[in-house]
Amino acid sequence: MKCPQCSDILLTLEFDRIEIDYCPGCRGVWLDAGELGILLERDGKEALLLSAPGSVRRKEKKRACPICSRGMEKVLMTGSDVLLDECPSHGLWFDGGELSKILEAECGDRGEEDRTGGLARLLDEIFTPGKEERT
Amino acid sequence: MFWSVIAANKRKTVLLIVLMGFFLISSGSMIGMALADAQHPYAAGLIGAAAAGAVWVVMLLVSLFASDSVLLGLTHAREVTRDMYPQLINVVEEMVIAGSLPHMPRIFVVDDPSPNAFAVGKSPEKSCICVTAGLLALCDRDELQGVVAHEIGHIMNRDVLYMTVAATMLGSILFISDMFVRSFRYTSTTRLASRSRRAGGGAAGPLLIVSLLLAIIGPILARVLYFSISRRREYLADATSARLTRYPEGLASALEKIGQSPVMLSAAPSAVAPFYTVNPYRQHISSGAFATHPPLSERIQILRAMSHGAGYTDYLKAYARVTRRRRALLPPADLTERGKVDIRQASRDGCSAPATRAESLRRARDIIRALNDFAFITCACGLRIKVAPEYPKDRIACPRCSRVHSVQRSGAAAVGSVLSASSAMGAPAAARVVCPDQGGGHPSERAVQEARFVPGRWQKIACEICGHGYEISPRFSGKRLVCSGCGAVIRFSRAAGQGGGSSDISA
Ligand SMILES: [Zn+2]
Ligand SMILES: [Zn+2]
Ligand SMILES: [Zn+2]
Ligand SMILES: [Zn+2]
Ligand SMILES: [Zn+2]
Repeated sequence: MKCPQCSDILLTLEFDRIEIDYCPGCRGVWLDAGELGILLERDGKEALLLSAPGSVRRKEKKRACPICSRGMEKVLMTGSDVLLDECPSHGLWFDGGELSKILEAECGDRGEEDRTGGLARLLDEIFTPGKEERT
Repeated sequence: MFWSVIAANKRKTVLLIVLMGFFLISSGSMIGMALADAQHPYAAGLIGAAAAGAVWVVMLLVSLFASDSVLLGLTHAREVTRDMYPQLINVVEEMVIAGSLPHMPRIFVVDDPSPNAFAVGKSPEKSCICVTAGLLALCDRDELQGVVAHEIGHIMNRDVLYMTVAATMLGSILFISDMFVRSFRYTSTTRLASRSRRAGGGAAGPLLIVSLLLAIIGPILARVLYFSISRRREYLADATSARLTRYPEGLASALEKIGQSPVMLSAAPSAVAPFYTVNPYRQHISSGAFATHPPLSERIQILRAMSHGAGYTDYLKAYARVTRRRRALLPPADLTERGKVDIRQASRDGCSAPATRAESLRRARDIIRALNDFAFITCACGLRIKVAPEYPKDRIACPRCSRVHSVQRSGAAAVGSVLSASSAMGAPAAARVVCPDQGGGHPSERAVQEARFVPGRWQKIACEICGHGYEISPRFSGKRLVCSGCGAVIRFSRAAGQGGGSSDISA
């Protein structure tokens, strides 16, 4: 599978029984619809926290779904300004910048209410190890 | 066995081949004439016809002799053995015996999270059954058996013969008309203009219109023909499934689960769509003449209405009751069933708790990946990295802890290790780690270098340790980068004053 942004070959990362696809070139992350389904089953609806798809109009260029290469919709993660690309049939794309926004928010807001949900927590766990040691 | 259905499928296959040949050759000649110079329209028409005829012959040969490998290749399916998926193989064996097929079909699995299955092959002797990793993860034994029996039904009724030929023929029509549309776009701007100026060309105008019409109607015709026919066969395959398993609820509940699954079939090429148990494009093409499959809810309802027995007659009664259609699914002569077929007890093992589902999906997909030559790296930090065969580099820095690993593709050995790793499942990830440990160590002890980053423009930096170069996008907003050459951490200080890169992993 190729990165929708820089066409590097994505690496598949498995952590805590969830798989994501990661672009080593631009640090973007692809979350397969199958994995979203598992997250949804495991952590309930709040795992995803996506606003209604297609509701955001941005000038940002549409990216192509790495699976069907149709243009993806822009969606917002609830309670944040993180803008994601979604293919309704195949999954979600976080580009490198959006991912680091999520990770920063997680580090900053620790202790306050955890509003980013299980998905952000998972990404945080994958990309920032040794969190336990820090706190 | 539905003899009239088998005979009809064979007859339709021959008819389809002849019709398609006629259609291809005539449209080929028209296209040739339309595109030719005004002086030699007929010679060009002949050339066009010959080219289309050649395409037809090739397609025919492919569809009769290599269709299974083409279709399985399109979906990246891999043949599997008993030690990989023992339950699947057992279920297929049972259904082969129940359906008294002359041969055990070859069994394939596709690395796809969406649940589905299909069968290919021109005769029961040379057939293949293909299921997705998602189906294996989703279904319990009874449900899997129901789906497998549905595919066996398609093989028994020779549906796959007709569908294979139709898929290939449809592909060739679409291919040719696509070529025509492209070349027309090209010539219409150049040659047509000069032709009309010369006011010659005779029949060129009407010819163009006719061939254009052909190019538009052809694909529609092919699709309607091909899709509308494949609906009745789904009911019949469901009937066969109920009969072979003697447990209609198995397939019904599998179909229900498939219908509720949020995942669509990902990489399925559209020519393969009609082969699947459930239409992989159900969101886009839902009903009408273009639907390859009857609505799922109706199929489930019919299966659940079979309360008195699992025989063909029971299915036909349920079908008539649910759909209220007058026309029988089958001519009465086909029903050679003697006696009553009782519904058997459920053999549910009830193992689809979320945790085990994630696990079995993981396992099912990993085996296929290992067969497809992926490399598997388990890092000491607990992250598993799965590297596609296309991945160009032979070293990888773990995105989690920046340890550098070398990528070793072990082929068949990888399958074995996936199998043994997943049998030892249950232990927490970190406890199962095998770490190659090259240049390891905690991230905070690793080499850290500083680099200046000016937001808003592209810039080049190079790793001080290994010299690996990077182009940083103006939109890059990370604070650090792990060198993919050596694993060193490159930390950025922001030039534009918006907060120095102080918080990184070691902060
Ligand atoms: Zn990328
Ligand atoms: Zn897609
Ligand atoms: Zn079917
Ligand atoms: Zn690691
Ligand atoms: Zn380096």
